[in-house]
Amino acid sequence: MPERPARILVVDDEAAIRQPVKWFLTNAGYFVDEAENGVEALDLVKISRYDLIILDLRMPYLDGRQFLEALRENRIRVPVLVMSAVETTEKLYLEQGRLIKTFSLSQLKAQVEKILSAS
Amino acid sequence: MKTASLHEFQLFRVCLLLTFVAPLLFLPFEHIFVLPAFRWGIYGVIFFSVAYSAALWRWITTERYLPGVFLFLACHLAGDTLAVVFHSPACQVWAFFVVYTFISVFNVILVPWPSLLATSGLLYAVIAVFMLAPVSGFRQAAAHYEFWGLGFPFVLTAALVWFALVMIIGIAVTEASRRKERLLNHQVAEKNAEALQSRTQLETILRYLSVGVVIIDERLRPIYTNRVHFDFVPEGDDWRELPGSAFPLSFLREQFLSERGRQLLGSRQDIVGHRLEYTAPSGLSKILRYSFVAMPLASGAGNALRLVLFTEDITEEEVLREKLVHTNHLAEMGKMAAGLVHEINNPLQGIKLNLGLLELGIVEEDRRKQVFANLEEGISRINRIARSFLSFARQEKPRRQWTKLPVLLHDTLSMACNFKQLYDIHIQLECEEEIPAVSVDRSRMEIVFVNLLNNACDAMAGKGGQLKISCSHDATHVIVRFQDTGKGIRQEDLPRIFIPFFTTKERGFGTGLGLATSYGIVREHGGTMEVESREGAGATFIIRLPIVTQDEAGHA
Repeated sequence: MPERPARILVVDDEAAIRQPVKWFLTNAGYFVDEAENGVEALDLVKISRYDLIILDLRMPYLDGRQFLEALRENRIRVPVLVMSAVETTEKLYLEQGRLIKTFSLSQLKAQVEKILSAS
Repeated sequence: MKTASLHEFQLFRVCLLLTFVAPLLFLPFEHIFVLPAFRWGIYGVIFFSVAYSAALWRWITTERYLPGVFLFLACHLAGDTLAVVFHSPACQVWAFFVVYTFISVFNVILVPWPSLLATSGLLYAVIAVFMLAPVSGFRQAAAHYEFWGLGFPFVLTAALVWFALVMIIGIAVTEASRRKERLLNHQVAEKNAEALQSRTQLETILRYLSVGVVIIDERLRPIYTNRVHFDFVPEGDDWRELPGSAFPLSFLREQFLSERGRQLLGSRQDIVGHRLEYTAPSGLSKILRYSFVAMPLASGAGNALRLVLFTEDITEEEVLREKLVHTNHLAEMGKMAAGLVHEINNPLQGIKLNLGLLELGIVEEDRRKQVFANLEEGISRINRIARSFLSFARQEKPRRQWTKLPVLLHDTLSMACNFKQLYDIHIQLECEEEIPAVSVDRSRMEIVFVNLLNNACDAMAGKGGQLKISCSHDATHVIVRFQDTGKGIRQEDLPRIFIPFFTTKERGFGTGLGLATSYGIVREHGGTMEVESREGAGATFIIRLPIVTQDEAGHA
């Protein structure tokens, strides 16, 4: 674990998922921000540096893929942990790991730690 | 008596002409005006000829046989009488009278047969020579011939040759004109045979069609009915015998004498008139469809529009359509099931994470309430989704109910929105107040609406847009419009979009059954479905469902 708490951004339109993820990770000692959709997330990413983005793919206004495209255009590189309903072999831009719904808090923790320690 | 034909007149004319010229040729010319008896005889003959010509002229021009013959007879008698009365001995008067009467009667009876007519011409000539010669003074004539050294036998021979000539010419003329007539007759017969053949062919085709055909004139009377119609339509049905049965006639009047009817006549569209479901004597249930088409069929007065009623056995078609609806329903359910898993995953995920927090005991006191609210919300969402899926999946027999379309639209939309992520699509439902209830099968109309919603959403996928759904009505129809701002439909695809299995969607995304099924369902309800679209400018689907009164519909 780094000296400075890692900054994580949780992007999901569902409060019932976003909130427990945020609370759990905060409890685990991370500094967590949340965004309801891709547009909000993009604004946050532009003003502050994150170590990890936990991203849902299906969202209104700017969905996960479009958000990643926007990152590419803005040349912002942040490791991304994707939450999705279906298992696929495709690997998205910046994707470092994938959580298939429904996942548990421990799976979430393991993925987050793995990605952060790698970077 | 049969009408004399043209060639008979011609022959007769030739014979007569020669007959009257002949005796003159055989008589010594210088005697003609010297001998008073003969002079009068010549006057008689001239008169005779003029009268004959007049009679013939009348005969030929009027082409009436009997009056001509009577006139002819009258001229005979008048001419003969004149010739005889003026300068003949009494016995010659009698001879003339008897012989000419005989010839006349002979003529009346035999004239219709050309060869006998020629014979009659011969008789004329012979009699003319032998009768006229005594009138002019046979002795003088004989002496004249003796003088020339020819003798009586020569005269007779010359006369016979002449008459043979008359016959040959007469028969030749007759034959020529007969040949012409035969040719003409032959052509006419050929034309008739052709007409008959094409008529027979048409009738055979009509008889063996698997469609009942009734041609109806402008006074709404059937002028032709093929057998299939009678085979199809059960005894006792109003549509079996169209005349005298009130329902079809009032229906026809309504449809065709109205403004709309006339428009339809002009555009030659078909009108589905009536559906009849019945049980055949064999025990099988049958479904018949009656439809009307206005066609320009030739009549005596030129091209007149005729109504044609087609009776079709659509039992199989209906069974297939039923299957199609079912297939589409299954496909839709399959898609929905996929959506269902997706949609249920999210609330499940929420429940799992919130439960995880509780399990770890890391929930701060002020957040406990929120965690339980999340759990509650997740569970009731799953419940809602499952229930609406169930209501869609239930395959019911077609059953019509009086339905307020706005309510049905609202229910369908809120159900469908549970499954679909419609973030970028703004749906607006606008309904007039006081829309009359229509008799529809709710579960089927639901399929139609879901299909249209799906298509609109697919057309606007990725870009977002607006789907405006409106419900209004006019005097005869309730009108539902689905107007989207999507990518629209290509002009060349427009005519095909209602055809089963036609799809422009990517493989695996569309079955091509949605619109076909919807179209079928709307038609089944007696309605119409149209589309207006330009590529890139969105599409509008318009459904019109007829407003019927409860009495007409026959069910409460």
